[in-house]
Amino acid sequence: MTRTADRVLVGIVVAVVLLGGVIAWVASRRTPEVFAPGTPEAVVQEFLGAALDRDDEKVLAMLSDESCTLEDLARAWVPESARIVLVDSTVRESSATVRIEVTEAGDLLGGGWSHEEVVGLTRDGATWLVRPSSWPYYDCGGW
Amino acid sequence: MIGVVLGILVTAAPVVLLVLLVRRLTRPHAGAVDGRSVRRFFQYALLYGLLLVVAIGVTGLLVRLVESPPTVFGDDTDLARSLTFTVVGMPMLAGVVLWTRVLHRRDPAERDAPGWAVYLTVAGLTALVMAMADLHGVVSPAVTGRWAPDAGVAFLVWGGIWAVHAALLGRTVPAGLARGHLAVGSLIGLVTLLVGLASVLADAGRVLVVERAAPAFVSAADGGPVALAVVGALVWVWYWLLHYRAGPPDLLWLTYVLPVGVGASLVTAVVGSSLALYAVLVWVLGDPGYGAWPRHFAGTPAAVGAAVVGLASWWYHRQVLRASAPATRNDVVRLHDYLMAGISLVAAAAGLAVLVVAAIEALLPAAVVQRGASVANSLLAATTLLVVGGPLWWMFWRRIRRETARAVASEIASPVRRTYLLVLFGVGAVAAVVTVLVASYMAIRGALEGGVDARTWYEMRVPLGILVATAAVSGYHWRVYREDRAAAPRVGAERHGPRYVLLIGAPDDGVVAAVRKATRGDVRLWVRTDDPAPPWVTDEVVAAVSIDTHPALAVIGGADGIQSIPIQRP
Repeated sequence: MTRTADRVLVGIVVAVVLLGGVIAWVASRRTPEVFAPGTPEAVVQEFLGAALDRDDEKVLAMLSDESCTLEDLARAWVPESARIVLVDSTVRESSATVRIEVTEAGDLLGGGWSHEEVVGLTRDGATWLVRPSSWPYYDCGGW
Repeated sequence: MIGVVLGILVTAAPVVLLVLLVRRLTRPHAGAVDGRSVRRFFQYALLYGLLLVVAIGVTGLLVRLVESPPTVFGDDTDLARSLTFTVVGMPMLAGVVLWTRVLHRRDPAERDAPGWAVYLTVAGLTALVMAMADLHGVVSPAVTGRWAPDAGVAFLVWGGIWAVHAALLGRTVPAGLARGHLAVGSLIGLVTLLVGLASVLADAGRVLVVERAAPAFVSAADGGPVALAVVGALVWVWYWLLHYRAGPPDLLWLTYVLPVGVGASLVTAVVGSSLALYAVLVWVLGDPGYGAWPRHFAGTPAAVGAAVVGLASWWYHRQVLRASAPATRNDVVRLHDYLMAGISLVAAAAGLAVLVVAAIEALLPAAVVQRGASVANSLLAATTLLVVGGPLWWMFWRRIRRETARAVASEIASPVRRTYLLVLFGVGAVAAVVTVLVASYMAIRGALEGGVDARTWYEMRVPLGILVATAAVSGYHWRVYREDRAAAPRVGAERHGPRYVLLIGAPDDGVVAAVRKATRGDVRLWVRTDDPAPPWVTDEVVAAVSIDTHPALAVIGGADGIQSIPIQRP
C-alpha cells in the first residue's frame, strides 16, 4: 500500500509515543499546590485528604461541632476516588468559605461527574475548624 | 424477570406480525394476495394469545398442587385468574387449533404461508425463554441441594409447548422459513451460555483469590451462574450444534456467525481484558485511591471471566467461519477482516482520545487533593486501550494490506472495503460535529462566566480528545481511500467481458457494481423467487464474467454455485 498513508500512520504512532512520554514525565514531577500552613485553604486541603483516606479520627478532630461522632462519619458516603480543585476562597474575621470543584472519576474512558461544593470554616483562636455541614458529610450529627 | 420477558414478547409479537403483513400487502403484485393474509394475521395472533393464556393458567393451577407448603390462605385473585385462563381459555384454544388444522388439511398452501412460520417461530421462542427461566429455577437451587417443584412443573408446561412448536417447525414449514427460529434460538443459547460461564469464572476468581484475603462477612451464594451455564449449554447444543451449524451459509447464518459470534465475542474480550489490565496497571503504577487490594480488584474477576469467555467464543466462531469459507478470498472473508479491524480500531482510537485527555490534564494546574483520579491513571487507561486495541488492529489491517498488494483489483472493488472506509468517515463526521459543538458550548459558556480558565479546559478535555482521535483515524483512512480511487481507473482499464450481463439470483447491489466496473457494460440483476438464493461471491462472478467473450451473458446464482449462459438480446 501507499506511501502517503504509511507516512500518516507512522506520524500518528510517533506522536502517540512522544505524547505518552511527555505526559508520564509531567505526571511524575507534579505535586499538589502547597498553601501556607494555618490558612483556610491549607486546612481544607488537609481535611479533604483525610476524608478521602477515611481517616475519621483526624476528620473529627478538625470539625467545629462536637455533636458529630465517629459513627456519623463512618455512615457518610465518601467517593473512593476524586479530583478536587480550588475554585476560590473568602476569608472573614471569624469565618471563611472555600469553594471547591469535585470530580468523582476513575473509569477507563476518563469520564467523571463534577460538582461544586462549599466548605465552611470557623476560627477557633489561632486555628480554623471545618463546619460539619460541609461536603462530604453535610449535616453530620444533625440528624 | 419472567413478567418482563412475557410483556415484551406479548407486546412485540403483534407488531412483528403487523409489519410482516403490511410488507406483504405492499409488495409488488400484491394484488394476488386476497383477504386470506388478513385472516391469517388474526387467526395466528389469536392462537398465540390463547396459547399464552392457557399456559399461564395451567401453570398456575399445577404449581398450586405441588408447592410446599401448600397455599393455606387463599390468594383468590391468582386462583381465579388461573381457573379462568384454564377453564375458559382451553376450549377457545382447542377451537382455534381445530380451525387451523382444518384449514391446513383443506389447503396445503396454508402451511407454506409466512404467517404460519412466523407464528411457530414467535410461539416457539416465547416458550423457549419461559422454559429456560423455569429450568434455571430448577437447576439453581439443585446445585445447593434444594428442590423447587413449582419451577419444575412450570418447566414441563413451557418445555412441552416448545417441543410441540419445534417439531411442527421441522415437519410443516419449508426449511428456508424455519431457519429464523434456529438462528434466534442459537443466539439465545449462546448469550446465556457465555454469560453463565463468565459468571462462573468470576465467582471462582472471587472465591479463590479475593475472598481468601477478605472473606465475605455474609455470603448468600447460590447456583445461579452454574444453572445459567447449564441452561445456556443445553439450548446452544440443541439449536446450534445439532441443527443450525451444518446449515448452508446464507445471509442469516453469516449474520449470526460474523457480527455476533465473531464480532460481539471480540468486543467482550477487548472490554474484559482492558478493564482487567487497567486495574492491574493502576494498582502497580498508578493511584488506586482508597482501599486495600481486595477492594480494588473486586470487579476484576468478572472482567477476566468476560475476557476468557469472549476469547474462547471468538476463536470458536473463527474456526466455524474458516471451515465454511471458500479457499479464495471473497466478501465473507473480507467482512470478517474489516469487522475485526474496525472493532480493534475503536479500542485504539479510544486510547488515543484518553491520551489527549491525559495531556490536557497534565497541562492544567495540579488538583489540591486527588485520590484515584490522577493524570497517571488517565495515562494508564490510554496505555491499556492502545496496548489492547493497537496490535489487534495492526494484525488485521496488515492482513488487509497484504491482500490489497496481492490482488489490488478485487480488494479495492469490494463493497466491503468501500463500506468500511465510508462508515469510518461517516462516524468520524458525526463525532467531529458533535464534539465541536460540545467543546464550543463549553468554551463560550466559560468565556461568558468570566473567561476560559483551567476549569473550562478540564471540562473540554473529553470532547477535544475525541476530536483529535477522530481526526487521526479519518486522516489516515482518507489517504487510503484517495489511493484506492487513484488505483481504480487503472484496474478498470485492464478489464473486459460481455457488453450485457444479466445476473439472476439473490439481490445484491455490490455484485452489480463490481461486474459493471469489471466489464464497463450494461449489468442487470433479476431476483430469483423460487428458492432463497445464496449470496453472490463477487470475486467468482467477476472472474467468470471477465474471461467470457460473448457479447451478452446470463449468470445464474444457485445452491450449486454460478452458471454462465450465453444469451442473445431480443
